[in-house]
Amino acid sequence: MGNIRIIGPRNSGKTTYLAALAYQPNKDKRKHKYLQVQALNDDTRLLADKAESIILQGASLEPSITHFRTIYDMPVYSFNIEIKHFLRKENIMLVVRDYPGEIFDDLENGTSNKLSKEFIDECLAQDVSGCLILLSEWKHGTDKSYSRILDQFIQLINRADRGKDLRLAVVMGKCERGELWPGRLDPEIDLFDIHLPETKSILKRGILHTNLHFYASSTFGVLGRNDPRPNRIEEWGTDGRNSVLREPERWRPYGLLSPLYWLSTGKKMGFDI
Amino acid sequence: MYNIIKKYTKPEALAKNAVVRVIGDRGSGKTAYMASLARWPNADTTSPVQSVIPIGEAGEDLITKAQNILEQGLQLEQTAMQHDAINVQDYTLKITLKGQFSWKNPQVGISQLVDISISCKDYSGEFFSDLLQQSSSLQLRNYLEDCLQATGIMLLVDGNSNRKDLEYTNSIDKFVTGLDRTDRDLNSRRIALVLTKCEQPELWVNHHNSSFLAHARFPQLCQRLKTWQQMGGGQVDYFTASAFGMLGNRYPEPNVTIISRDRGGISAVIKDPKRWRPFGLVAPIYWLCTGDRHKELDKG
Repeated sequence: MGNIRIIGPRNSGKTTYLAALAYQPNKDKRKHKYLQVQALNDDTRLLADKAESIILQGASLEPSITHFRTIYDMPVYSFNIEIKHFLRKENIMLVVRDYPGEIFDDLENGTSNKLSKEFIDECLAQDVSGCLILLSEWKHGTDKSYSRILDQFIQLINRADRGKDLRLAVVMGKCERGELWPGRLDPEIDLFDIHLPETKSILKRGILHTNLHFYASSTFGVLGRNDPRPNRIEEWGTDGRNSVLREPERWRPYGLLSPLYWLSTGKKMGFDI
Repeated sequence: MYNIIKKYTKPEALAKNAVVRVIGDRGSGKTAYMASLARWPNADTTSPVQSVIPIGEAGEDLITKAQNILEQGLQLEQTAMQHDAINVQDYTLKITLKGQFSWKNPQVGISQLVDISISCKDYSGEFFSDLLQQSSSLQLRNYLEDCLQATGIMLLVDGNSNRKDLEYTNSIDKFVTGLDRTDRDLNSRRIALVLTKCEQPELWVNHHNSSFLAHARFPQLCQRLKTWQQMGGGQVDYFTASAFGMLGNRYPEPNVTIISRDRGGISAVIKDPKRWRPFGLVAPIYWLCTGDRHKELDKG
């Protein structure tokens, strides 16, 4: 158990990811009998309340950076997660902070400003057990830019003496997209090798293989087992187009917990939820 | 013969004493710690601590602070800096708890009660943050002389103020060198580094692993204390505590409302005074008195 940080470029859906985790269990009692999530502080409950308007009504989440000027204003989300395995129950506590996308993007030019440095120090502190890197794009040029950023990040990890024990879960988000959905079953080969090959090879070279895992996740999910259309439509919200659930009652997010579970415990889950 | 049997079967409470000085930065929660300890609210029946009784006027004063300020959801005022260390209030507390057997204290039986009396001075935060920097000041000498009487030092650090690691290291460095210089008899003493406000989620996840947590968040401070220990200054150990504690058993959450967060840590008030149950307050004191970690107390 320990602290987890979520980093990733702007608009990769970091806060929505956490909002879904905080909110989803209340929503979907039937299907997730084996999983129970409990918010453990006010910040998390606030996020769960906001989640409904974000995911169902498409209210846009303001970029995290606009809320605070210093690292101390950042919310800390904390969850208790009860997982029912075959015969036993397991409780884990997750303490997660999501970072503004700017911090990730700034890494490309090397961190010079004070705020970024504070965030990175905090991210690589000894009591952080792992980082979740949430990526979502593979447009022309992004592979190059991600790999430069992660190269920087790996250097910072080594400089902070965390090379041996910091776990990195690299997650491809928004996997309900048609071209990604079939690749979710083996994300390392079918998503990262194909769409972000350079990023993957930089990570493979720089991080011990026991501390690195690739995941696929989808906050919105697809319509059903035999209906792989994304359960998501774009709507015009208060400020531009935003994604909302297409059929709320069929909402089944994919792969939200597995990376966090591994980061926190070091064990892999038998199935992806 | 009868006497021998009586001696071993009908245990009288064993007495242990310690003279303690509580030091730490402004806002690290020194007075809240003491007040919460004296008040000992909502005692848990399974806890090895049987009772905490404040003795004398100063002790009453702590209870008043706990009831009139903390329990009303208000913040304590800063403790004023006294010119002379003699004038700093000396709190006396008597703590009765179930002992635990250990080879260090073989006379303590498993079910035997132990009475711990501590006399404890809660220095103003200014001592730690300002006075220690003025190495030639008479006032500092006066305070250090006062510290010599102590067999134990409780260094309280807000666990959320990890960015001030370097400043703390600097202060503790001045403190231990000052102490060495003033102490002619070279007494050995114990320093308990207590991380306070561990109800906060980022600290709570690791609160059972206090040594790891202290080293992770305050690497330089721990290194300095370790050096002090290796040079023969005394012993160091690490603890986690919260004066306000957690709410609920199954899904415990912090029983605080945060007022502000900044570089120096957080300041907060109690959320639900009726369910006020601090944790970790007695463990460092037991250790300062006996040199043993009490396993039951460490559990929280």
